[in-house]
Amino acid sequence: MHYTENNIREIHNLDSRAAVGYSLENLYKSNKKIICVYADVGSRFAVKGKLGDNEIEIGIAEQTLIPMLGGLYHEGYIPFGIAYAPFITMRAADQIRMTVGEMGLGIKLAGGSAGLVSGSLGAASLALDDLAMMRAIPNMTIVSPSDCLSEVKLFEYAAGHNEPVYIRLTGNKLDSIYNEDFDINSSKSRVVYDSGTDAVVFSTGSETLQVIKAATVLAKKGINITVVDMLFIKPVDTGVLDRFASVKNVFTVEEHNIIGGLGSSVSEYISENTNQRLYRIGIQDSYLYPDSYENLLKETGLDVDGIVSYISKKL
Amino acid sequence: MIYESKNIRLGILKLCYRLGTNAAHLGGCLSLADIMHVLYSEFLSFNTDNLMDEYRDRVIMSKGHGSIAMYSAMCEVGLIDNLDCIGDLTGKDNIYYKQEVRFPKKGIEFSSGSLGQGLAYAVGVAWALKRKGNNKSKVYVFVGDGECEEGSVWEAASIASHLKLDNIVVIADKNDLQIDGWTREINSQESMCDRWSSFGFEVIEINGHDYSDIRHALNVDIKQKPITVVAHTVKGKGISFIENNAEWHQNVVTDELYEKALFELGEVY
Repeated sequence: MHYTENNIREIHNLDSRAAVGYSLENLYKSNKKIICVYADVGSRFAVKGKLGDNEIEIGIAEQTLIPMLGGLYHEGYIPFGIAYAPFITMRAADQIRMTVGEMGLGIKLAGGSAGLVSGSLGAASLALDDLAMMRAIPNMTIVSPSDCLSEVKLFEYAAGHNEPVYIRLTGNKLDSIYNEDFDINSSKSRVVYDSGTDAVVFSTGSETLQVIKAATVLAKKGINITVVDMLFIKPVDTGVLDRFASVKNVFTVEEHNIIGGLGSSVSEYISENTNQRLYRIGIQDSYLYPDSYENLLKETGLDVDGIVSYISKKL
Repeated sequence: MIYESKNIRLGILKLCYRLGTNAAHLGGCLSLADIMHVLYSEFLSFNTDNLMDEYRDRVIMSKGHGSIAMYSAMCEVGLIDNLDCIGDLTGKDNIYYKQEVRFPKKGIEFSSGSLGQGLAYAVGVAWALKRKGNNKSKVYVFVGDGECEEGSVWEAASIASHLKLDNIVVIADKNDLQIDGWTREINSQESMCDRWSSFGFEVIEINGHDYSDIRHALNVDIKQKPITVVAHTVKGKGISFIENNAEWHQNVVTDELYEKALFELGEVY
C-alpha cells in the first residue's frame, strides 16, 4: 500500500477496530486471495461487507475458526480470522497449537479488545494472558500496533508474509504516534522518544502512548529516558535490545500479565546476554473486577501517573 | 466380504507390527478397513502423478488413530508405492506416522492427533473448493464415535450445515469402544444418527463391514447439505483376539500375536 499524507490522516481518524476493516478492505483490493472469517464481530470491526464473496461469518465459534482458517490456507488462500482476543487465543489454544505450531500454516489472527480496554465487562472479557500462550506456540509471529498507522502496516505485513501472525489489538481510540510511513521489515521496533539514557523503556500496544506521555513528565523532573515501541513481541527485536545493552535500567510496559508477555520476553534475552536491571510494569498476576478502562489503567499503574511514579521510584 | 479387503488388513497388521513396543492403534484401524478399501479403490478421485492435483478428493483423517488404515489403503491404490516406503512410522526423516502429520505433496492433507479438529479444517477446505469453482472434489472426513464426545465436532458441524457444504462427507466410525471401555457406558453416542440429522446433515446409517451398504452410502449425492455416514463397525474387525477388545485401542503386536493374526488373515508367518 502507498501511504500519502492524506491517507495517513484518514487512517489516524479511525479507531483500532475500524482500522481492521480499513486494512482488510485495502488488502483485498490488491489481492483476491485474502479471505476474512469472523466470529460474530464483523460489524464491530468494520469488516462486514468489505470483502464481497471473500468473507465468512461463522458466529461465536472460535474453536472452529482456527482449523477452518487452516483449511482455507491449505487451499491457497491468505485467511484472516477476527474475534475478541481472549477467545481467539485462550479458548482456541489447542487448535492454534495444531494449526500454527504443528502444521505451521500461515494463518492470520486478529484479536480485538486485548488488554484492559473491555474492563467494564470484567476479567472474562480481558485478554491479559494471550501473549503468554501465543509466545509458547512455535512458528507464531506476534505483533501489537500502537496506533492506527502501525496497525494498518502490521496487517499489510501479515498479508505479505507466508507465516502465522497474531495481531494483538489493544486500546480503542488511539492517538497518532507515527505521522509518516516507515519500513516495518527492516526494524521490528521503533525508538519513539529519546531524551537520554537514565533508563530505556520497552513498551507495546496502547501503552506506548502512555509511556511517551510519562517520558515528557519525567523529563521535566530531570529524568531522561528512551522509549522503544515494540511492534513485534515475537520474534523480539534483539537488535534493539543489544543497542541499549549499556543502559543500566530497563523497564517494560504492557497491558498484560507480567508473566509471559513482553516483560518476560525481554527478560529471557537480557538475562542471558547483558548485566542490566529489568523492571516489568504490567498486571501483577491477578484478575481484575469490572471497571472502566481508565480506572483499571490507574489501578494497575499503567496510566501516565503510575508509570511516572514507578520509574521515578526505581531510579 | 472380509476376503476382499484382506490386503488392507494385512497392510495394517504389518505396519502396526513394525511399531514394535511403540504400540499401535490396531482396533480403530481394522474397524475402518472395509470402508477404506471401498472408498479408495472405487470412489476416491486422485492423480498418482500429482498428489496435489486440484481436482483430487481430500481425505481428512480427524480420528488420527485411523491413519495406518489410510496408509494401507493408499498403498493398495498406488498413492504410496508400497509398505516399505512407510518405514517404521517414527523419526524426523519419515513422512508417515501413526497419527498423520500434514505433508500435502505426499497426499497427507492434515495433522491429526488432537481430536475434534478435522471437521472444522474440512469446513475451510470445502468452502475454499466452492469459492474456487471446484465443484468436483469431495472432502471426506473420518471421525470416531469417541471423538464425537468433543464439543468442537458439533461446533464445526453447525457451521458446515449452515454454509450448506454439500461437498463434505463425514464418515463416523461407530465402533462402540474407546480406551476406558464401551462408549455407551462412558458417554453414550447411541443417538448419533439423530444428532447429525438435527444439525442439518443427511444421515446414512450402514453396516461398515457390508460392501453394498458402503457403496450405497458413498453413492449418495445430496445438494445443499453435508452428509454423515454413520458406520456401525466392530473395533478390531477381522482378527478374533482384537475384535471388541478395548485393550486393543492401542497395544503392542508381539511376534507371537503377529503370527497368530497373520494366520487368521490367511497368511503364513
